[in-house]
Amino acid sequence: MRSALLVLALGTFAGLSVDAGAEGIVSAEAAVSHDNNLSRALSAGDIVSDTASNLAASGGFYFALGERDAVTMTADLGVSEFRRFNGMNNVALGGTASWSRKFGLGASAPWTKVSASFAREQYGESIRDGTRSNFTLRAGQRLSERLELSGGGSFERYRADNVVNVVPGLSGDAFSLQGRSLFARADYALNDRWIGFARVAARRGDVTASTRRDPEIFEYSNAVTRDPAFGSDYIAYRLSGTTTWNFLAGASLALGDHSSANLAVTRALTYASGGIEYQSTQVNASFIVSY
Amino acid sequence: MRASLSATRTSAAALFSLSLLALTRPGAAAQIAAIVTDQEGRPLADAVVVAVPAQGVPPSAPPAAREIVDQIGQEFVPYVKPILVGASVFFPNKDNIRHQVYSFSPAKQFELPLYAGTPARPVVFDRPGIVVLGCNIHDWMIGYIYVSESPYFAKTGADGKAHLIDLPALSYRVRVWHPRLQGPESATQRPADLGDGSRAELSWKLVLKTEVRVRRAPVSGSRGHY
Repeated sequence: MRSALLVLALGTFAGLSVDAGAEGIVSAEAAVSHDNNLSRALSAGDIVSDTASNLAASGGFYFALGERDAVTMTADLGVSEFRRFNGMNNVALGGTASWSRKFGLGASAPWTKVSASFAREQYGESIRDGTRSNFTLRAGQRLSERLELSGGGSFERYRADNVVNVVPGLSGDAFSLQGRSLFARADYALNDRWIGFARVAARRGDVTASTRRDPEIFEYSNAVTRDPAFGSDYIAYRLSGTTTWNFLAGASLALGDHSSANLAVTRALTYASGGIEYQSTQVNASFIVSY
Repeated sequence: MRASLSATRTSAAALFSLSLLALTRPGAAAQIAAIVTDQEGRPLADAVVVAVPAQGVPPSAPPAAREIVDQIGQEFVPYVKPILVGASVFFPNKDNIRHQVYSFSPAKQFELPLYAGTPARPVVFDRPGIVVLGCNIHDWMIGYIYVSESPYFAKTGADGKAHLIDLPALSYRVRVWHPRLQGPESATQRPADLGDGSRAELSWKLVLKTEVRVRRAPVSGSRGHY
């Protein structure tokens, strides 16, 4: 991950030395989201749902390195506040560096984009604090005036700062995760203002789930710690080798050249060893401005 | 003094030209007042009205006027630019970022490599037709150059009106084009016989297709424009 960031940074500075034609970019998003299984719990009694208000902003520069290549660097800020579970409130501050290439001229030329991002995250309950990093490779092409297809893969890792052991002989690092995903996405323009989109992703890796104290769960998890975000009697446990399918569908309405209203629904199905299955549905309504 | 002399020479040249025009075009010039609306009857801006003499367009020297299509606020300005065939067009970039203007259109294929400011050389449009402009950096940017084989053309304003003035008294075939025109441009053609000093009023109600451009507004979770 560090080497990827270094390559991107070097590419950026190489481009700057060739031509300092940087283009400032900024975007902001205000959203309300609802998750009907925020705890990623298995049994109905442990499932908690909540609604969050989210604000995100990013700003930076776009550098056209030539006629085909470009580098984008942004600083990113995100804030989430939950209605019920204040321990989940969080602030994320980080950055993203991307390199993109167009294989030809015009809007329908195939493209690829490599992005590396990292963020420091601080939560209402500090046991969840940590650093998130993500490396994504995607490619796509506009097949017609209306349809654009893209797909790719990503690797993500979250390193928790605070490890609290609560079960002798079992790691307390339940919030540190890593996973890799493959995804495909389609964007379809209904007209000049409306775009419908759908995305499917398969993720293989770790998940953290929370439940009230249940000794049976120790059999399947490789890390357990306390999780006061959902209550003093909750524990968080990490399952490895899980597979999560994410199905997303949404629509976006352009409100102007620089703003849009968006609605998306995501259905996530997680399968772990021992017949453990989690399901959750997230609904996200957002207003986005970009320049 | 030099400016005064220059102005005097220009005035003399203009008078000479007008005298020639009077000799070759007896009588008062004719005109066409065109009104273009969409299928709902709403005024249609950016429609190009072209009058082609029925006996054909006489050969003429390439137009000397310096035509310009700007890039302002990451858009082509104007959105539609009618020009006479043979005209040279400059593409000044008035944004503080770089653009890469191109066209794949059969009437003119060209590419202006990534640039800021104004390219030193203009692009010469030597074939009639529609030229669609794009920017390889900003996919939502689109513009049109209408290259007319006839010197008699005008573009509608926001009121859907266009005025073709100083037309020789001739028979014409008049047609209309718009970026969203459904069907061939030739289907809009109609005759107009203009006598000395006459004024013809023509109107079109165009059937427009739904235009789907690359959207500039953000889309949740997409790759974005950058």
